[in-house]
Amino acid sequence: MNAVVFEIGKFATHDGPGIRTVVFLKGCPLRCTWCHSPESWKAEPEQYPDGTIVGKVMSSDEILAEVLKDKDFYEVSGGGLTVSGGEPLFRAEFLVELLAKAKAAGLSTAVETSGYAPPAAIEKVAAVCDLWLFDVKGLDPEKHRAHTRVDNAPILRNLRWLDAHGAKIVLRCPMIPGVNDFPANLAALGKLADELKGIERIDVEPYVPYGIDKARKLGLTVYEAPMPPPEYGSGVVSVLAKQTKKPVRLG
Amino acid sequence: MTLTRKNFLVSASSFAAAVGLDPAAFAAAGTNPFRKLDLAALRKELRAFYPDESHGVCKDPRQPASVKAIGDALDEWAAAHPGYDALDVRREEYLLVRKHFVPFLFKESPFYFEAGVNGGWCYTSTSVPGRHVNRLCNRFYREQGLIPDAAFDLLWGRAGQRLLVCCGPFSDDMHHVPAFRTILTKGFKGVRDEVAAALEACPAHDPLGKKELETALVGLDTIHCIQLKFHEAAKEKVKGLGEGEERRNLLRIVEASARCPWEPPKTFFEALNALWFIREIPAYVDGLDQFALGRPDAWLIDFYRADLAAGRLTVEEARELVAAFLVTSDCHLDTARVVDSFDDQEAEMPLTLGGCDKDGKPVWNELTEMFLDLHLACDCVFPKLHCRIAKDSPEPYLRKIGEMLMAGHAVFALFNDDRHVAQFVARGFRPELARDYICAGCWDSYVDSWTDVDCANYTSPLRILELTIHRDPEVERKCRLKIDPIDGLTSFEAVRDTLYRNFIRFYRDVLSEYTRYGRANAKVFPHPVYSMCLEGGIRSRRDTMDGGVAFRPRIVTLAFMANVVDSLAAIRQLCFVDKTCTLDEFLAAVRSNWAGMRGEELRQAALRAPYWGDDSSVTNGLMKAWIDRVADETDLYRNDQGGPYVLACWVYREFLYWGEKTKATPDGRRDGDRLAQGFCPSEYRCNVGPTTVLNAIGTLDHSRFFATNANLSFDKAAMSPETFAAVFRVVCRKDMHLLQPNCLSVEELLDAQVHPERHRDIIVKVCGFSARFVSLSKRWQDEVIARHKLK
Repeated sequence: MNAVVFEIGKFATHDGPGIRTVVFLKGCPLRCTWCHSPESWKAEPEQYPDGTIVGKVMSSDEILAEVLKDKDFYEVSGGGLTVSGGEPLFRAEFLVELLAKAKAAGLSTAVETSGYAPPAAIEKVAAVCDLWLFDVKGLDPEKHRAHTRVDNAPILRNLRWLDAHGAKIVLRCPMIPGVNDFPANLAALGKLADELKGIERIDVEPYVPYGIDKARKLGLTVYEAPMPPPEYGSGVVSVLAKQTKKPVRLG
Repeated sequence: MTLTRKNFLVSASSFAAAVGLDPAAFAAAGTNPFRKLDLAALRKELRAFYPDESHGVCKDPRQPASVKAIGDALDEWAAAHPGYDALDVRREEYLLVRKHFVPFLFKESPFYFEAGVNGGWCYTSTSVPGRHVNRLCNRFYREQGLIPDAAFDLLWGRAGQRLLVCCGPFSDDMHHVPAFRTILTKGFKGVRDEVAAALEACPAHDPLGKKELETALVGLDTIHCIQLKFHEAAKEKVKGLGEGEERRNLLRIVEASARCPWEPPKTFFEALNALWFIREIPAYVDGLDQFALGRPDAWLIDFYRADLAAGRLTVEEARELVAAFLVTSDCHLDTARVVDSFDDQEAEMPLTLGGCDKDGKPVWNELTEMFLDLHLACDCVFPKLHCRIAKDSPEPYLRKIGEMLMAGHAVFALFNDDRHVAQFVARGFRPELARDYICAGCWDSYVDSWTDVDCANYTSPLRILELTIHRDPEVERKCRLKIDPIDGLTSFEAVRDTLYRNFIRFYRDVLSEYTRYGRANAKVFPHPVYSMCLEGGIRSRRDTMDGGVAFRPRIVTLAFMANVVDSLAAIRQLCFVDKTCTLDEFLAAVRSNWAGMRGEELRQAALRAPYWGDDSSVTNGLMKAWIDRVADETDLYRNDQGGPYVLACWVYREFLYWGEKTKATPDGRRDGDRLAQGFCPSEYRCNVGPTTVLNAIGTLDHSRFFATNANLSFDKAAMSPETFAAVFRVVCRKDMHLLQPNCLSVEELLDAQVHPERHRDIIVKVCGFSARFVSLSKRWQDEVIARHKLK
């Protein structure tokens, strides 16, 4: 099977254990207002005004061949393949094929997801995924809908299903000043983490304005704010750490 | 006390405070753990003694005065003995050293070895008496017809034209390694006894051998005399001293200097002192640059443990000695001095740590950790730390190096045991000897006491490429080059092969000239003491420069290969694959320094072509083909000592200096742009991460090289000690020789340019040496920042 890849990031050290390669698939059903990769929204390749093509159609074998170039690094570090997006579950069948081939090649696998997918997709991928990097962007349903254009109910349902079925999960929480960093959301995140035994850690990921220029070039709109000060992320970590027994760190 | 991370950090901050770096930290940190040895005072005393820069002379006027007195007396002697040869002068110099040597003992130092040898380049007769021999005997080259004037003119002409570097006339007379193991096991006396026995057995038909042995005996007795001068000076100095640290140190020196290292060391202190003594004193009497300080964790651990068990030493005392050992090296040059040219602070000798012992077991012990911790705690730039690593090195050892790098302490060259040990075994060394190799200079490995590696000889394929494009008949005539043009060629293969032929003609000439003339140096610059301490010297009765040593390979370096490969790849892509332009149009653009819109358009296209480091089959193949062809050619030659020539791939500061004079090249470089270091990709090209670069380097057959260098920068935000440990293991898996890692952020470096006072502790690996980032000149700072912008 083929999918559209908009980036392959080598030597990734923050997207799962060890040294990893992150494959970013195009296509996402969410429209997060703060998105730092709006070029991932459309599932098809597209073109910036300067002629640069974003997205390349690749087969799972082609991707795997590229990923396996760094096998030495995975073997010595416990690393492997992480698939991100976009929303990788948007192409669940392809994702299952790619992860299965990666596992057969001896790699550890991880998926970074918004969790917004049909339950059947989650179930299929769970069989070939060693670690879920699961975004929880907010627990207030209305605010979630307003900022992502989708409901969070199916997301939370999938999260609980994964937890109930023994998945290893790292919660990844994008922290957007003025959007989801209010105390009630942090308290709810902490409570959720404590309820779910499979959650190993919470990663706080402060807002980065990297999507602005790309969105403008593609005629899209994203939240435009300056980079928060360096102490913002550590401040959120310290507040959230008081709300949960699970480890919290800056992602 | 075992150092933990916590008390180590306390030590680091309190020590920094104690030396006046940060009074606030001092107040906060509490007691100085080095209370028994005031290192701030030691630093002050040593800095007042040592020169500030690499070519400097000892600041204590007694040292240069004694060197001059020896020189004056030698001149008088020479005038009275006009028929002298170099060994005659050497013998007389040894005798005069006995008369004029000044033993320097410091109030704050526990050691006795100081002769005032520069920590940088000690090859002038103003700094060491051993170099008076060259001064008096250089005329032999011409008078005795050893090397014709025309050959010298050609050598210096080619060096001036950036075609080659030879650290000495036709032979590298700079890079040597003391015979540590010989002296640590036999003492100088043991060598003397063997020389005396060899002299007695010397056949009558070998007068030269007899003279070499006789001269060595005089030299070895001079070393004994020097040791006893320290003994007498310490005895004299201790008189009248009240109780205290200085008296305690002097009494220890009085006791030890009565016998060691004339006799082998028996205690940790004696062995530690001996490492310095074995480096310093033979360098002083023989005029040799000795670029190594030994392997203390592997060699001294038994002394250390035995002393602790016997109650002769405490851990705290050992730490004080090790701290003083390191700080002594760090004070040899002024690390606050601006680094811009070869005259500045650099080149202090390296210390080897880690690796494996002779049985192949990892060396990661209390001393390894102590030397690493104290190097950081004492805020040392020097000695350089050459750490041996392997695929199966202990994880805590590799993480410790990673931690230090994360702290901005980039003082490491990491030597891959799996490659270096295999290399020595392949060259006939017993595995137990090969496993005990030590690291020296910037990138070289030695089996000390067995090898004397003639290592610093560069050749520049890129300069030949430059001349092939930017023709210069005057240079071609003066440097005796035959350059075939590539203009008008109709296939990439023809371009590639023409460039190769242009280079290999020059390369063959250079090797032939080294072989023809290299040995002449033995008649100008013999060093009998050093030679007789090396395996094979006594048996052959010949100097190391005269074929006397068991293994003396000659290392020939290919410089700027990444630029050569990138240039070929650009020509291939633009002129023969994409057909963006004709070869002649492309060459015209390069010759014009990419002038005009079309020129810039072609330059941008060249920058988009495959490049070395991108792990593409095109550039991997081009590099491999060049290396294999040159290595095959190299294997056909024997050097002036009868040993092999072996390839290397590294370059020192020339990648900046020579780059500034190099015209535009097809890889998209403009006039004056920097060149690429060792196996690193070009700074102008690389937009891939470290895994891709290391994968590309890993495609080469590293057994074709004696040494190579990859100086790679890692983004601090992506790194952790664990990640570094993993990267180091991959470097070993890839069979690479050496990694010189940096770990910084561009933001930090830019801030350091604006606020140097905030970043004094950032130490960066520049090329073969490290320096404080804030001490680098602007052009060097910019170069380091450019490296860190690599993706």
